[in-house]
This record gives sequence, structure tokens and C-alpha cells, in this order.
Amino acid sequence: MYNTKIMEILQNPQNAGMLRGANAIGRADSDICSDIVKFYLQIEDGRVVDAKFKTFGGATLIAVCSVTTQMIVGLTVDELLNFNVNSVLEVLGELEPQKDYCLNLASQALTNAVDDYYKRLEKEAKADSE
Amino acid sequence: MNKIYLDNAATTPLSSEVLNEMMPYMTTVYGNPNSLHSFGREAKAGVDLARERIARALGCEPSEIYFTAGATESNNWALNGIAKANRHKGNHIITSKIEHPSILETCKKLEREGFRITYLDVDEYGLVRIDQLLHFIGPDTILISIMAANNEVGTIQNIQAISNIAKEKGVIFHTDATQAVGSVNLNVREMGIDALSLSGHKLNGPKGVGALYVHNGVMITPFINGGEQESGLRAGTSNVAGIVGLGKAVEIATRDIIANSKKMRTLRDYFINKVMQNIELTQLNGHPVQRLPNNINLSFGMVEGESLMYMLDLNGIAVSTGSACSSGSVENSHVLTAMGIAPDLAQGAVRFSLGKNTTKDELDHVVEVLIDCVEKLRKISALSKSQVGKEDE
Repeated sequence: MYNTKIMEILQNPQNAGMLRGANAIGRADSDICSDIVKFYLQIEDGRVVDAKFKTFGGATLIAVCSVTTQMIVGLTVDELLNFNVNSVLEVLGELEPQKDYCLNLASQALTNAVDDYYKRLEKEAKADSE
Repeated sequence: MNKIYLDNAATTPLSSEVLNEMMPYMTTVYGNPNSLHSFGREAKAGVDLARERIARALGCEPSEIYFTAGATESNNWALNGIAKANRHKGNHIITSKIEHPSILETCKKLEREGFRITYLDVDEYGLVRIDQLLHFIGPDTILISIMAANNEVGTIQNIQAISNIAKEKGVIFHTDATQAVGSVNLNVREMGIDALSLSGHKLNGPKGVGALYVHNGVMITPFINGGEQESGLRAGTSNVAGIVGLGKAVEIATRDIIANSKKMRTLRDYFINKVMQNIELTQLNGHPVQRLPNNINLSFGMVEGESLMYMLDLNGIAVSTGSACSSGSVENSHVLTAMGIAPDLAQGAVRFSLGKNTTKDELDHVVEVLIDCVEKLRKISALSKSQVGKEDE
């Protein structure tokens, strides 16, 4: 199944690259192939103000990451925790069944980014209290 | 620039010479070659000529050529048919880890039916380990099946050496020559090859037709029952136009082998050198010299193959990633894995396979586009330079 939307994004992915000043970084590695997703988020006052990604993966994974970063900017951390990566399908349309793992990988990387955010907050809080 | 097709290992365009030869058999010569009347005899003459042409190209007798629906069928038939007709002599078959799925899947089926299969390792260049062949061959070995040249990385096997070992031990030797015919000289009589599979559409011939050569005296069970066609071993009304096209395609490929190979080898090496000079972290997969004249298999560090393939496609350039027949799978290529290539580089491998009409101008354009696409993908890569080839460490 050739997905023209995915091809359109592949030519011009949004938010690709590293984000200097990111304070929530999450990575996920596929356990079936060499695919990697990394999200770099900047969270200010409990809200995502910027998001970027890097990836090693196929066209579908690049598109999933690109759309995810577009959709999460503006969300509160709470909303981010409840964000369902399947929402990207509203933009991308149906994926090939064997590409469903891309959604799981992006979801895992996002969860890891939130974990990283709270870890940093905890570390800062400890430093402040010492 | 027009679209550029660099996926000739997947399939090739039908040559006009072949089409012209086929045309009468798709229009006016419509008889069933098994019919005794003049219409039938005319069609049979076309089938007979094709059989003679292929026999001449391979150096065997026309009676040793059986037409099939393609190399996948030929491979299925050769392994199944030879294994079952020779089971009284033993149940051990030797093949390699880098064969086409039509060999590997048939071997798995035979394993379930009680045959013992040894899958030989290959070295870093994709060459079958002859030392392992000598080690594993035994009194119960009835068949060795090793491809003449690999479809993904283009490595040409030491077929003569393998054939000599088979002869010495009295074992039947089959080779899948789908990619090799027209690029590698294969005289079955001189080389001692007992069975060989080939396909039409890899040689600028038609799709859906192939052949299996089986040396007279080698026992093989029928593949399809219910008719006298192909000496009663492969029943069903012959695909006359396809067979005629196959015969012509094999004749042309053999006739032009020296000129085409020389031209493609020059272009292949030109492309490889130009890419290596212009794109850092590029790795050539397969043997540097002992490879098909039209095969280029490259990994670009930090870059994933499928996304690069689609980016090239968006620029009008057709290549393939992994093994063309297995690209639906998210698993790495079994060939590159067997060669010990790191998972990220294996997933990044892209095959550029030249055709007899590929030009230097086309390749220059491909390099330009490639430089741009690789750069774009590296900018968003989650891998750094130092991580290339070390993903699993």
C-alpha cells in the first residue's frame, strides 16, 4: 500500500533534528530491527513549547515522528501523558499492518521523554533542597 | 531527466528483439503444440527451437531442458523432485544460508518431511565456505544446491570448485543460475552441473516463464501430473509465446555476454568509485571483484535503506532495499546477516542493479541525487558517525 501522505512528509519532514535546550529527551529502540526514535522536547511551565525528532527508520517512521512532534506542541505534560500516538493516523491515514510497530516505537519514545522530564525535575528539586 | 530504472535484478524490460520473436505466437500461431495438425506443429516448432537455443547456450541436449513458469518453480521442482527420487540413496541435502527463498523454503519443507539439511555459512563477501562443504558432505548426501550468483549482493560463487567436489563424492549438483545466466559463462557439460534453474524476465525476456535443466540420467519426480508435456514431468499446455521469448532471450544474453558484461562492469565500477569518493561512510556489500557486472549493493552509514529507496523513488530513480522479494519484511536480509554485516548497515543496504541500456549520464544523475538524499537523511538520523556498524554493541 503506497501512502502518498507519508511520501509527502518524507520529502519535507517537520521538526527533524536536534533541539538545543531540550529538557525531556526520550529514545526507543525496536526489538525487531535497527529502528530508533529520539524525541527532544522543550517543556516550559508544564507545557510543551517545542518538539523535534531524530530517527533511524523507514518512511513511515519518519512520518509518524514528524506528525507526532507537530501534534504535541502546546500540550500540557498531563495531556502529553494521555496522548495517543494513534492520533497521527488522522493525518497519515491507514498504515500497512507491518508498519504498526512505528506507532509503538514513537509512543515508547514519548513515554521515555516524559520520564526523563520528571527525572530532571526531581534532580532539580533535590539540588534546590540541599 | 526521465525516470531511471536501476532494479534490473528484480526484473528487466522486455527487449524488442524478444518481443518480435514472440508476437506471432500471441497472434497467428495459436495452435496447441501437442496437437498433431499443422497449427499444432507450427507452435511445436517454436517450442522446439526455444529448447534448442537454451540447450546450445548451456552446452547440453535439448531433451535436458524442461520449461517451467519461472525460476521459483524450477527451484522448487529441482529440490523436491531430485530429493524424493534419490531418497533411496540418502536423505542429506547441502545448501547455503544465502539462497533465494524458493530454495530455503523448499529445504524447510523437506526438513519437515524427514530430510536433513545443512545450510553452509558464507564469508564476509558472501562466498560459500568450501571448507564447510568438504566437512559436511557425507555418504548420505544426495544433493548440493548452491546459487551461481547472489541476487542481493551479486557475489559469484566458485561453482566449478563446488561442482568438482560434488562429482568426486558422487552427489548431484544443482545451481540456481537466475541472476548468473547472461553474466557468467555456464557450460553445464564442461562444468559438471547436474541441474540448473533459470528465468526469462531477468534476461530481458518475458515474465512467467523459466526453465530447469536436468542432466540425462539424474532422477527427478514429476512436478505436475496429467499430461505429456515436458516429457510427462511438467504437465499443462505450454506457454508457447513465453517459451519462444525465453529461448530468444537466453540466446541473446549468451550472444552478447562479453560486450554487455564489459560495458556494465565498467559502469558498475565507475558508479561505485564515484559514490565512495563523494559520500563518506559508504560500504560496498559483497565481493569487490567476483561479483555480477550489474550489481552494486551499498550501505550508507547512519541511513536507513527503505527511506532512502523511497526518496530516490520520489526523484524518479528505482532501486531496491534488502532483497526485493522480502522487502515486505521488517527483518534484515538473511544474506547480509549471514555475511556478518552489522544490523544497521544491513538495514541500510540499497541495491542498484544496472541494465544493458543503463548509461553513464544516468549514473551521474543518480550520484547527484544520492548525495542530496543521503545528506538529508543523515541530518535526521538518530545514529551518530561513531555508532555506525556498532548498533548491537
